[in-house]
Amino acid sequence: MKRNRREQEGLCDLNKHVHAHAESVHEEPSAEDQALIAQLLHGFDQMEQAIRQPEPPPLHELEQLIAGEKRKLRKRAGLEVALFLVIALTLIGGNMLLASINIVVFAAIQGLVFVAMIAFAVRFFYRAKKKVKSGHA
Amino acid sequence: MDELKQIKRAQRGDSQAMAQLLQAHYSFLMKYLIKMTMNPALAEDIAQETMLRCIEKIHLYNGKSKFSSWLITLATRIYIDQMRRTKVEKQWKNQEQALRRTEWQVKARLAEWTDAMHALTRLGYEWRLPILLKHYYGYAYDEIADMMDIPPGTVKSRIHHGLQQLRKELTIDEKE
Amino acid sequence: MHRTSPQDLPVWGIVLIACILLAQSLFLFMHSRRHTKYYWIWGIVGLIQSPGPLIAYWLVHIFWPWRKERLKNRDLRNKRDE
Repeated sequence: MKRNRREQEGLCDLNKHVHAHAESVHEEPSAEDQALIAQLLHGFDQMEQAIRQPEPPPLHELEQLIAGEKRKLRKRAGLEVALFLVIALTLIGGNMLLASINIVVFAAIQGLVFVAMIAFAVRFFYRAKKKVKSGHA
Repeated sequence: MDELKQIKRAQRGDSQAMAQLLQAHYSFLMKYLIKMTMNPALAEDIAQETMLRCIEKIHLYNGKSKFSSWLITLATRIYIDQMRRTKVEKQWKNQEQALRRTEWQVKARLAEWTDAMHALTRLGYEWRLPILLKHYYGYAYDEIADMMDIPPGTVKSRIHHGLQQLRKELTIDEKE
Repeated sequence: MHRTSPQDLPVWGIVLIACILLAQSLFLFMHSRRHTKYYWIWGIVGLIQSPGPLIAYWLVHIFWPWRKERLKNRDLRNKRDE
């Protein structure tokens, strides 16, 4: 019988997830493979018992870690927005210049991008619907 | 639904919820990492990295898989990236790893370090990982494919060849 | 005549379009940042044209997830009632 270790990891996880368990038990490994696998699993268990697991860090330490990381992330986010604004003003500036010089090309680009976006959205929908259909099948 | 609520709170920025989440899953993460890397020191480093990555990407978690699965997916990707980057130094690293292995082998008071585990350690991570994920943790082929960022067919063939290689190594050992 | 003189296009028209594009792209950038790893693409595309990217983004990241959630809840309710 296949040992599913995930339940045994001791986490009361009520987040039900239907994973393709059927697929993983479809092919039973050959007899000699099963013996080998049993050896490996035994070894993993031994390893787990022998190696001293460090205790989970205390909550306040984790909160410090989180605070530090969040600060770093906020700073990086700010830099990204600043960079984006520079790019934005450049691109918009250029685009407006184009609009005032040659409205036809400008309108053509507008039309192209619009069509491309709609096509992208449609293609996404088509593929997403296909996935849902095969998922429920 | 307790954990789901906690995750939602952490996603909205509740640091306390995030800390509780990380603490709750820490030992699962560490156990996985030790089995994956076969290197306790590296495991701790990657655990740290993983937690930071988790904080960064928590709002991208979409509930499609278990949180613990998502967490070890992060860890696996970090590990694979590291291993890929140190390809050149990998030989040296393997030596060092072997040294550490014998070190804690002695400290670990193991009755016997089975030949199979020994051979598994010598196997590259690309073959060891799918075997660990499929036969110890029970993940499906496409879940493993997603974790390792490789096609599901490759997962299947790696497990097959990995086991084959192990059998070969073990029969060679027996003959000695 | 393929060249339009600056008087053909009122300045306020250009300023208006520029403001719309800036607002759209900023929204797309900031919002998609929380939902996808492709946020830079959404931001940049939102700088070029409007309202195409906005429509596409709404469809892909707002409407579709909402509809999936509705369908899932309906399926769950049906299963429970069986």
